[in-house]
Amino acid sequence: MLIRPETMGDTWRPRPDGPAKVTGSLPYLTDLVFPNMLIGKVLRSAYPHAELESIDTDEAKRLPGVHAILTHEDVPRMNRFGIVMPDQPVFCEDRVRFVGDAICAVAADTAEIATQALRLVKVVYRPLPVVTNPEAALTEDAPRLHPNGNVLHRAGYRRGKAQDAMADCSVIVEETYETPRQMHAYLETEGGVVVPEEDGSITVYMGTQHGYRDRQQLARILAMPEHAIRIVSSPMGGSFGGKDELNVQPYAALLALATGRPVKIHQTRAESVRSALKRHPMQIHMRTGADANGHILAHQVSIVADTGAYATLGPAVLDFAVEHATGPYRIPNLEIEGVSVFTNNGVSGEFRGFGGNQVTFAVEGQVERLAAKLGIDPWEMRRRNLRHAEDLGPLGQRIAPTDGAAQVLEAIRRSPVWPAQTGAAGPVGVGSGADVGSGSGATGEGLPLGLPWKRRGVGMALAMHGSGLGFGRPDPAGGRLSLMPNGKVEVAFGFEEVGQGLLAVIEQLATSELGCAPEDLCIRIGDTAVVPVSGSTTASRATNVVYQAIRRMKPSWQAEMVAAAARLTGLPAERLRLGPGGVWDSERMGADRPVLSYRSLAQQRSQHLPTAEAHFSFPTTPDAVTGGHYLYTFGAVVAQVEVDLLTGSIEVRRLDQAIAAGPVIHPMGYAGQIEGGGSMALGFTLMEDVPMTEGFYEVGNFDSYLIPTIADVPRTVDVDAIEQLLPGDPFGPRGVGEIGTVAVAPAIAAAVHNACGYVAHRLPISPKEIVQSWGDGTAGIGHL
Amino acid sequence: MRAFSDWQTNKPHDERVHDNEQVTTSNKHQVHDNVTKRYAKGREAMKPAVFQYVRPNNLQEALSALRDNADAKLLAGGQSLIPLMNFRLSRPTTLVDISQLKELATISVSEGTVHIGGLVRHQQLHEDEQIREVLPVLSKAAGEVGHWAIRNRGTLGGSLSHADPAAELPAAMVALHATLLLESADSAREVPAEEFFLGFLTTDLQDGEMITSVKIPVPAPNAKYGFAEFARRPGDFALAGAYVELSGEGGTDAVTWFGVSGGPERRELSIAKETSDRAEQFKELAEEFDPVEDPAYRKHLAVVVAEQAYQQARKGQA
Repeated sequence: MLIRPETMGDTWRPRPDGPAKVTGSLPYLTDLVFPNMLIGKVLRSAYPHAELESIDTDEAKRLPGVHAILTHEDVPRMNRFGIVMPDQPVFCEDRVRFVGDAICAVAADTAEIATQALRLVKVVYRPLPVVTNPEAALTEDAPRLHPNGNVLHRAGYRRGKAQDAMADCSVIVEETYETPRQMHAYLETEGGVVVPEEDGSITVYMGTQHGYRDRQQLARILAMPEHAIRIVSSPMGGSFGGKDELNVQPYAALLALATGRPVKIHQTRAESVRSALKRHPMQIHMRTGADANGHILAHQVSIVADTGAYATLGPAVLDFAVEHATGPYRIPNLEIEGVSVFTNNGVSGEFRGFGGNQVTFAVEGQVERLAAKLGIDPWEMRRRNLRHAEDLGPLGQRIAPTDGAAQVLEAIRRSPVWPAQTGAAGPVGVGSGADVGSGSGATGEGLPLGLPWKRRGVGMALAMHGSGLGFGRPDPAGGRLSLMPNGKVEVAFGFEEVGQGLLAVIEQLATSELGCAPEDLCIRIGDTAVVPVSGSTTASRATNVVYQAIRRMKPSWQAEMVAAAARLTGLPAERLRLGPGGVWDSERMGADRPVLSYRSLAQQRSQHLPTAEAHFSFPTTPDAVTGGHYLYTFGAVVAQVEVDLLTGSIEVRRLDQAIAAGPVIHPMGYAGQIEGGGSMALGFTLMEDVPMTEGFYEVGNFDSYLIPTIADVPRTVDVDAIEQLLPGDPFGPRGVGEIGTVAVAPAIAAAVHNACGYVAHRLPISPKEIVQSWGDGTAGIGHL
Repeated sequence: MRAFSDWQTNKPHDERVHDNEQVTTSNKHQVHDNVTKRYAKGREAMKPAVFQYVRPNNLQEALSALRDNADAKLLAGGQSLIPLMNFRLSRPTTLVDISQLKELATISVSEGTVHIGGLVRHQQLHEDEQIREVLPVLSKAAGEVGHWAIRNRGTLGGSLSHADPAAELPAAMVALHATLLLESADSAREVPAEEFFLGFLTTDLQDGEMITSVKIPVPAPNAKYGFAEFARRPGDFALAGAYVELSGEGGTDAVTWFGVSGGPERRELSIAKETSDRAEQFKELAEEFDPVEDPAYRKHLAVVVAEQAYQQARKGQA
């Protein structure tokens, strides 16, 4: 069903944190100020690859207003961090591997003094040859960036005999796709405050996507027990995966412990660009063959990911890319291999879509190319190859039954901009419109406004996207309900509000499942002092965990609450129901208030207040396939573009998405995720890239890193939510934080192709190349 | 309901206020030194370096303040200066705030000349009925400056004195034969726009001078103008832009480009009627430019915007 305010009833309401966010009144963690607070700054490497000969901080230490300068010698225990394999130095000892590597950190009275102090630090480097791309990194004489060489991770999957099956194919298409180093570009750069407490513990007020894991990593670095570290990690001004790994927490913590004073670090945009994660640039080679009827018989894939200097989640991102390189298609013969390679190019890591966006651009490009070669309508081409409800997962693993792929494909036909008919009159735009000003209607939409240098086209793409961390990775989940002494129902989850709308989801699920009103709730998240372990706020998993946890807690919660109310009111428990404001008598539901308010219940009971907890694991496949998922969401995108052949600019006029992710919990948030995800992916497709030269970023801020503005995104975006789940899938709503970003690039690329015949294999699509594809580019001027 | 954990209400908040909001209108020259005081107290500093702030009551006071304070800068719309100061690329000792000098924000047409005050905002220029009537091309170009919020604050004098090579209005002045009136406390002079812009962010404006107004001759009845530009995103600085002047019988046509070099580039020529000849003319002229990034694409765009501007001029659209 299309998500529209008028069809959503009373579930169409703003998120609880919305007004404070849009009016700017919400304090973020980087806004906090404490008495006696110092300002911290981190000195980053001057070179992308060098040996460190010496670090002299003596002069800097003498600068008035400087309270501490720390180097690797001051790290109490483990001078490393990293979610999966801690290989990134907190402070470099003898070698730097990228321009964001930390050398030392200072705490001073003001940011100016801290900056001045860092200028006085004398670092002697001996520059080493820079490994500028994965290809160079894999050569035999390349400098070895880590003890085990330059390969971080290899992954692959095979089924059947792809090479042999190519011989049976009528058509084979072969292409190398390249994707950009996208920046997360969250509005709030990394930062916050670390406060040393009187009892020797510390409180870390810094955004992250998994407070408990930050605590674990910090405990290792600081040589402190985990219970002596409290992480307050919410709310955040955006993360998109970019703040899941530690960033400046260790520096602020070390400085706070060294000085005994609160220390704030808040990175400037330039510091953020330099030190923070980016999306993995990937080079994806695909060779795909189909028979004359369009059935794909064989698919060979080779993925090379530039993971940068350190591991972070590079291995998991590559596993995910390998898993999703087939798209939602049944392909009998597969040969997929991937390698994630260390270079001196920043650090690549987690980013909304998690490797799926890159391979989906490639595999959907292959499907388009095959369809064009065979003269088959692109929609029909996909229908013929689509996975079936009972099919195994892409890695041959058992998964929850799903017909999401078929559902979203069918939804494409409901889009007002997708030509309803299939076949010859459909948007098979191969080479169409190759003649500027031909005036023919050969393109998907023909010529708008009588401007022959502008061409419209339509394209589509599909995506399949796993949720949860996958097989073989600890994926704990849980939540807690408690009646507080003041009568509020505390709903606690170990998650963070990163901008995704989690509070609205919790509010909606708690009220609809537990009967209470929004005002009855006290939602607690993002603070290890008060929340249970729920796992990470990543991988489109939080919404599902909240749903499952509340459903699991509901029976015992209701029983305990009702039993308590029965004792206090003398009414039989069978007659009592939880409702807004308190416990209601089901035989007097017309009453104007509950028989016992939650407040009275809490006050009269005073001890042993009702509570319920859930502890479980996120659903995984029973088959031992590393990283293999069990729950998948599906997305289909229809893009309509207008290409200006004279300037090469591309206007995206429509970006409709159909999403199969189970029931919609908070419609406004759901639509927001899909529209916002679409905009972010539009940037990935048309403008975003952080180029590097010899290991140095060529971008330092948003003046030269273009992200879409409101003027660049389509005025109309339809979000079509497919909510039905098949029998055998009791898992309820999935998160939609990522799926809206995955299939946008190939849909826009297909639309551009449909409009003007330009075939994109590299993102972002270059206006310059579109112009060049039209000869010297001035041929069309006569038609202005 | 309480959406977040209780730290948010129990812990002290950042008490910063916007410094500009503390500035009150005064009847005399007044130096607001609260910035300096707060800095000394060790609170979080502002982005720009410390400066004195003066708000004159009239033009003469403004010019005197400019003369009397070494390294003083005029603050009008602040759309170029404030970012430069925030990056500390500009560190004026004194800001002379002329934003309230309404006498500099007027537009009038008399005796065949359009007079535009230096403090006229871009949006005002864009919307002004007289400008729409006599100089529609200028109205159109002003509407392409940045985004609405920028146009609401940015001023003509500010844009001309900043002289960004990709800005619309400096090139408009050259294309429209404008003359700038530059006043200081002790003198005044007039400079043709074509002589005013000296290169990348460089002009003939001297210490102590202010662009108080520009005058533009009302175009001859048979003269026609066109304007076009191309930017990657709406509101961005143009990768290339052009004004075309078709002067009618017997006159000389001209193209004035911007965004392709260090400043406005005016070229007089007799623009060909045949499309292919015209494309060749524009290409030949564009070859002279040497844009730093993507030179081939940018020169191509120079040709495209010139042609688009020509088409508009011919149709009398702007």
